Amino acid sequence: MQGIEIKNLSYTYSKKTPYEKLALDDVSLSINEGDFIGILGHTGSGKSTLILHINALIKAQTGSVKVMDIDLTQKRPKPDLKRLRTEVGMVFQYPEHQLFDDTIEKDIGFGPKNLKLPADEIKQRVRESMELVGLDYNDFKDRSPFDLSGGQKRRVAIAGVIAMRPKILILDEPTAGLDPEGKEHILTLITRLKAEISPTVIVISHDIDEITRFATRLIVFNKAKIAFDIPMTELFKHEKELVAMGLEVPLAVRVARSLRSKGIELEGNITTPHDLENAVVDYYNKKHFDDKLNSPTNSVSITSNIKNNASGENLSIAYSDNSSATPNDNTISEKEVLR
Amino acid sequence: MRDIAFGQYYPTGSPIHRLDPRAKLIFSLLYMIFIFFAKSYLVYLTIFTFIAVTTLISRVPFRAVLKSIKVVLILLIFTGMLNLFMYRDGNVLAEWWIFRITDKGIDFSIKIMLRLAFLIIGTSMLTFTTTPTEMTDGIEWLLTPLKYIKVPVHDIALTMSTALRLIPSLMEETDKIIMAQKARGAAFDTGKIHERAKSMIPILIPLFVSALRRADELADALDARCYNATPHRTKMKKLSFSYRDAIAFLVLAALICFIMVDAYHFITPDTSIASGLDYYLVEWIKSLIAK
Repeated sequence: MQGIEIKNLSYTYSKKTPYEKLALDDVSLSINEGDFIGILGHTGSGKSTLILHINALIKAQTGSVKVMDIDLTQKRPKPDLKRLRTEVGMVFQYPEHQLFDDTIEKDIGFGPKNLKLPADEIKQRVRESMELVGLDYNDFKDRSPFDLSGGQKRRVAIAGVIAMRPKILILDEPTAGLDPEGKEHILTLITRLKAEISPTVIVISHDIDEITRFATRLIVFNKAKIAFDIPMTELFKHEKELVAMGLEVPLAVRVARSLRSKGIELEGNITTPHDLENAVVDYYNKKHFDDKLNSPTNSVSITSNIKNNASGENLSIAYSDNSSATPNDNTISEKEVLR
Repeated sequence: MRDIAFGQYYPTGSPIHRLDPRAKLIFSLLYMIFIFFAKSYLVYLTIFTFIAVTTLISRVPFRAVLKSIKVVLILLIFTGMLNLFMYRDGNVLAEWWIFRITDKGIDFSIKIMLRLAFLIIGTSMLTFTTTPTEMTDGIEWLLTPLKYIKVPVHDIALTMSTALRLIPSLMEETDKIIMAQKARGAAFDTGKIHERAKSMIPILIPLFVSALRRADELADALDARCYNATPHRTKMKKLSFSYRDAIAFLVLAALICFIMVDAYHFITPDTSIASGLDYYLVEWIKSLIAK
């Protein structure tokens, strides 16, 4: 087996004290090799506790956890944690807070060094990891990680994890606290890492628009339980549940709903901005085609520009109709649509 | 890391929790002083009852209270042993090299261990029932007289409360850093001693960096809110003494009186190892048997 198998896992923090808190309540889950999973949930819904179990950073209280062929809950013989940690890479929230060495090269090499790899292999891995995250090896290797910008520090920290060459990569809120540009960088990086290093990727985020952009499977946590576990394409079916849990509905889903309620018959399942863009273009192409039938002398050009930047504000659909004297720019902004 | 019982607030909302923190501080201080005057076993028994009843009223589980002694158990045993073997007075029961066990030595070491145990339980009772904020408010009030000799009492109190406030955050941070470095294959519990010391570097450096960052942010936040702009700051929560504090004081005063009367009123002959009321109790039992 190459994936992760979790059965009936429960976990309580600070047992038998007034601060007792149930973090996981009988959670079962199986993750296959090649999955690209987004985990969504409120603070304290149990998502972080779950991923800590996958790397054996906390011991399971009840239930079982199996990662690849390593059974983390068996007592004897003890599970091979060292191998586990080379297979599962973990990028914590604000990973740049764990940087410690005086040069970037040494910091990234910390993991491989712990694996007791030969020196040239370590160097090779550091170089590759740095190129992957977009930091020039010769330029950066001797600089102190503390002199970098926030986004660069985070990339160094991620390079430190991928230098272990993990088969499974877990990231906890990888874009938290970054500016839009830094976020874009990290999101592109994650997609690239999945293609080149770690076939299985799990990303925790509270930003559903971020998750819908790349993850193919969505797991939503609510009150220590899995609320639902669905392919991303079925997300639009669960809009009401998300709202009931107080979670955000993806922008594209909201916009599609509003457009439909205004009589614009979009077709297909819309989850991502890309889906929405296609549906809108299809719709206007069709409309254009119908218009042409009605008044074949007019030419209509449609431009659709849907951009979902990290702040999620800039989403506009514009089409212009050359038939009128002044171009009839019709821009539907998110705010208008949602009214 | 998170299971350090000593000094942890244990919320139950009991009458003890609702006592005025200043009263609790003074009472604890008095208790700590007068516990060292305790002489006879009868008094120790009374103090024990006093602590047990206080614990019952506070609704802090006995398990949590006992845990606070566990931390200093080794110190307790060490002190007991030292007194047991080194005490010179009294009838010698056994002797070897510089060690000597006497009847008075046994008596004394039992008492010193009891005293220390009571001291720790009593003070942890204070921390179990008082939040750090209340505690610093209380300390600030106690230090008020120093204001007249230009001691920045309020700043001291603020420093104390920020320090207390940062402890749990830093512990959490430490936990996280340890986990992150473990995830990168770091091992903290294997290897020779200098290797282990070296393995602490990846934890300590990020921890210091984050402590300094937090301190910086806090200082900026204080400045941004014009901390120290007015000379006379008012309190959000005003402390006030109530009838509860008076009752608690009376109980404590009775205990102290009992300790002092036992220690200084009931003089016992030097020849007896029983001291204070114990002597009279023993004599009385002896006379009963004689009859």
